[in-house]
Parts: sequence; C-alpha cells; structure tokens
Amino acid sequence: MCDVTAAIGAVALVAGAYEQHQGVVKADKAAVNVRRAEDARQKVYSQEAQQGFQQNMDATNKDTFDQTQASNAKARNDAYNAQASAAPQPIQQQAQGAMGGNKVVADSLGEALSRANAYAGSLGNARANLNSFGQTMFDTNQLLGRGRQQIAEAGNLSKYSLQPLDAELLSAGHKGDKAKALGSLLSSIGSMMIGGAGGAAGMAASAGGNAVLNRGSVSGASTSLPASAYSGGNAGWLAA
Amino acid sequence: MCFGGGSSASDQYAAEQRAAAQKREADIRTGMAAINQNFSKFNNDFYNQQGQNYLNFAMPQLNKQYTDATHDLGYALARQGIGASSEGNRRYGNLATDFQLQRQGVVDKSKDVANQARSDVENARSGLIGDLYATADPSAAAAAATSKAQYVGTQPAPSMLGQMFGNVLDGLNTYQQQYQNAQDYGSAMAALGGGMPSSSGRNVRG
Repeated sequence: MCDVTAAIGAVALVAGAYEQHQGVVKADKAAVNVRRAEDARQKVYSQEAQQGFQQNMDATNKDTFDQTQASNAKARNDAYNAQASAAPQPIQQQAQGAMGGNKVVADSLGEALSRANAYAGSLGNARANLNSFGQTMFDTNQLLGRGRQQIAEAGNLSKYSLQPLDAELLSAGHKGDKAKALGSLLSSIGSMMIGGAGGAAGMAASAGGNAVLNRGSVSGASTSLPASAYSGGNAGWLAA
Repeated sequence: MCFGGGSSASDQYAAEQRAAAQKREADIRTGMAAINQNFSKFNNDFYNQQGQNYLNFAMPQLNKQYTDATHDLGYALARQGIGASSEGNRRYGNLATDFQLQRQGVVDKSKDVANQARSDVENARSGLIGDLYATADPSAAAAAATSKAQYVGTQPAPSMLGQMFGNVLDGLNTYQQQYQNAQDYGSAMAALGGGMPSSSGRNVRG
C-alpha cells in the first residue's frame, strides 16, 4: 500500500514540475509575443521617422541645393526683367519735347538710357544671384521643418505606444498562472503522499514489523516537504 | 477552484491601455490628415499671389514718384537752361538707373512678403499640430500655448513707400531757390540804383 502511495506521489511530483514548467513557458511565450508586437509597431514608427530624416538629407544635398539656388536666381532675375520691361517711360516722352528736334542730344539721351538699363540689368543679375542663397535657405528650411514634423510625429506615436507595454508584460507574466498553480498543487500532493508513506513505514519499523522500504527514495523525497505538511498531513493521506 | 481571477484583471487593464494608445494614434493620424488637407490650399499659387498683392500696392506708387521726379528734373534742367544737354542726359540716365534699381527692390520686397506669408502659415500649421498632440498630452499643451503666442501679429501691414527719388535734383536749383535768387538779385540791384533784369524766362515753375 505504501509503495503505491509513494509511486503516485512521485508521479504527482513529476506532473507538478511539468505543469509548472509549462506555465513558465506559456508566460515566457506571451511576453515574447508582446515584445514582438511592440517591435513591429516601433519598426513602422522608425521607418516613418527615417523617411522624414531622408527627406531632410535630400533637401540639404549640395547638388539639390545648387540646382534650387540656380532656379531661384533665374526666377528672381526674370521677375526683375519683367518689371523693367513693364516700366513707364516718362523720360522719353518728356525729352521728345525738350530736345526740340536736336538729333545729337536725342541720340545721346537714348545712349544714356540704354547704358542705364544695361547697368541696372547687370546689377539686377548680381542681385538675383545674391538673393538666391537666402531664398534657397528659406525654401530648404521649410522642407526641413516638414521633415522634422514627420520625425516628431513618429517619435510621439512611438513614445505613447510604449506606455501600455508594462501592463501587457505584467499580463503576459500571468499567462501560465493556471498551469503553475496546478503544478504547485500536484507537487504538494505528491510530496505529501511520499512523505506520508515514509511516516507509515517508520511507524511500522518502530513497532517491530518487517516492512521493507526503499529508504533512499523515500528519504530523498521527504526532505523537500515542509514540516507542517509532513507532520500534519500524514493521517489524512494514510487514511485515503 | 479558480486559477485565473488575477490574470483576467491584468489582461483587461493591458487591453484598455493598448486600445487607448491605438485610439490616440488613430486620432493623431486623422488629425494630421485633416490639417494637411486644410493647409493644402496654401500652395505656391497662394504665396505668389501674396507677393503680387504687394507689387500691385507698391509699384504704382513707385511709378508715380518716378514720373513726378522726371518732371521735376525736366523743369529744373529747363530753369538752368540745360534742358537739352549732356548733363541733362546724364541726370536722366541716373534717374532711369535709380528707377530700375528701386523696381528691383520692390520685387525683392514682394518676395519677402510671400516668404513671410509662407512662414506665418507654416507656424500656424505647427501650432495646430502641437494642439493636436496636446489633446492627449497635457505637457505638450502648455508648450503649444506658449509657442502659439509667437504666431500672433508677425506680419505688419505694409506701409506706403517713402521718398524714393529724393536726390534727383541735387545740384540743381528748385523753383523756390530760383525765385529767392531773383528776389535777392533784384534787391541788390535796387540798392545800387539799377533795375531788375528781365530773367524771368529762366524761372520755370516745377
């Protein structure tokens, strides 16, 4: 009878250990799943931030900057020229009367005005080139601002996505609770059964009986029993 | 026997937390799309029109000042008797150069106006994005409220052009100077017992 009880106890011990292990595995797997899901979300945010960063890198590329600056210089100079060609010509109208048909003076005025236009045009060209840098920096900064906004958005979402992680990991840690509890129960039962069988054998030996017990296996298992279970549980288990 | 009571509570809390984070993300992405949609109307055409508005405001003023300066110069040259002269042509040439450079300046200013408009609109957009984040983040709300104050009134109303051709008559007598000279000359001649010469033909009123 005691051999059977000890054998059942040993099986319960093994089953308990297995269930506890299964509980740990389940919790571990759940935690890994939580982390993998968060990794996937963070990867998306990272890609979005990377897009913004790459956009900013492209905006500050020297070749791109040179092209934009040249385009801005041309646009500015074109605007100057468009205004120059649309300008009123009061001098020419006024001078026609004042010259009184003096062709030499009229030609001289025409040359003076041509020189004036050429001079203003060359200054306008230089002015457009000069202003083009500031305009290009302004345009570039606008693009950089947009890129930074994209990076900031990704960072903001990333930060807030991490907030539930603690709760999710805590929840994942409970995933194997049923198996762990069952394993713990089985282990306790097994220990008590083995301990009970050992206690009965001791009583039989002290009474002069010839019970043959495998002392090694029983004593080894009994040492893991809590004192209260060992002492208080014998009667119940033996009766069962 | 129950093994799962505590686990269920933590599951529910974690699910609530994740749902809140997902809702916040969805709200922000929806809000960003709405902001981008609203601000898509502020495109290059819009900013170019802001610049054109300044041109329409300033260029007529400059044209009028140029026409007036041309007339003033013509009268001043006539008063000096050099209406048709190389000096007159040189001064007309300088005035024309000055006019073109002033026109370039007005074009530059119109670009500044367009750039300022772009910058102001972009700042307003950034403020809205800050507000969007702040709806789920109280610390960001305070920062957005502070920075929003900087967006108010950054673009002053354009002022009228000042005197752009003030030096066109440098070295030439104005009508008032010419009149005063004639008065002084007449007084001097009267004191000496002579009469005032007939030189009023060179007093061309400008």
